[in-house]
Amino acid sequence: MKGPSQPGAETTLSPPDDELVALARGGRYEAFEELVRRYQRRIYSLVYNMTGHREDAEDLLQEIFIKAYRSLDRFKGDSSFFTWLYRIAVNHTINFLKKRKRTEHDFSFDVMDPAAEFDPVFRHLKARESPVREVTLIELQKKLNAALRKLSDKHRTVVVLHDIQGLPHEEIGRIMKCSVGTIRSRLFYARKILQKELAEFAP
Amino acid sequence: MTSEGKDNRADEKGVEALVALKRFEQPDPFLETRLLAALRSRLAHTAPGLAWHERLLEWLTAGPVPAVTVAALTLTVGGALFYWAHWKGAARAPGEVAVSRSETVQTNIASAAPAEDLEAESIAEIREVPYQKPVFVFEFPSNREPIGPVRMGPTAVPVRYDF
Repeated sequence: MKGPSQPGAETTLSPPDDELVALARGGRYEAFEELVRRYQRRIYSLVYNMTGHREDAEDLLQEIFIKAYRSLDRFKGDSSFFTWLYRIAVNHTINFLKKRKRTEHDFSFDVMDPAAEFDPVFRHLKARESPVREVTLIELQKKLNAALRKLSDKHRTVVVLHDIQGLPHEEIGRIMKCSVGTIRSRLFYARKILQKELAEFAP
Repeated sequence: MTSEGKDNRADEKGVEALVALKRFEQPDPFLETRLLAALRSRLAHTAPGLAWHERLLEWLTAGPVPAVTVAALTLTVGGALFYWAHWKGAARAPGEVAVSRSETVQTNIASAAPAEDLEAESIAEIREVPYQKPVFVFEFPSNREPIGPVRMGPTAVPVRYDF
């Protein structure tokens, strides 16, 4: 999955982000709504996978777009709107997670698409000779979320952006304002931890 | 690449593929509708951008570490208070200096006066001591410590004399 800021990712029919941003700055709220429609799924996915809680994710999603709208006049255009919005989302979510650490929070999952059962990875898991029991989607979902929860906020962010959202290292570096080397290092470290946590599902 | 390195690479890829299964988690189908409605109700009638006090509040609360925010706020308030106190002190100081200077001048003039004048002055100072009327406080013997029988006539009243 590539970000819309990547070449060729934008559709030719809809206006580009910059144009919509300019219109929204000029007071055209519909233009901002178009931007919300364009990115809400990605931002939701990011926030949901970082928090592991869908209600929190929905609240945060609203807050992030409100923050973006109110900061539109400060968007200089140095980076793409996509990167800028992601940066707001990551920072806002990390701040939220820091505050939330004081209280114990349960998971609240989204529904897993049944199409996952046909994914080659999951089919491989099921087809494998399992000495104990058969793997179910719900069980795998719980384990994946619990494993992600073991990571620090920054490591989890990198894993979500790269492994789930499919963003390239360079884009993640721009979002998190750090070097590609740092991103690679965090990814490596995070995968080592995940490997331990998900040992029973290891190929 | 060694076989261990290849294994590590394979493990990493395996973990990546497993984690990628999370993309099959689907949000509520009405999420977009709810989000757009909520945003419209809060933003549709407001212009993009923030007022100055909202900017200040956002700047104070947007710090990565709350302690940094608190420290920044403390420094700002402390600095403002110090500046205010200093400024106030500086504004009052010239007046104070003027008063003390005039007093010094008067003292110098007095020290330079002849002996007769000094004597007269000292007498005048003595005379200027304000007269304090003595106060008589009447006390009953029962208020005193029982140090013995009180000797007094039938019409006498114990009296304490002080200024």
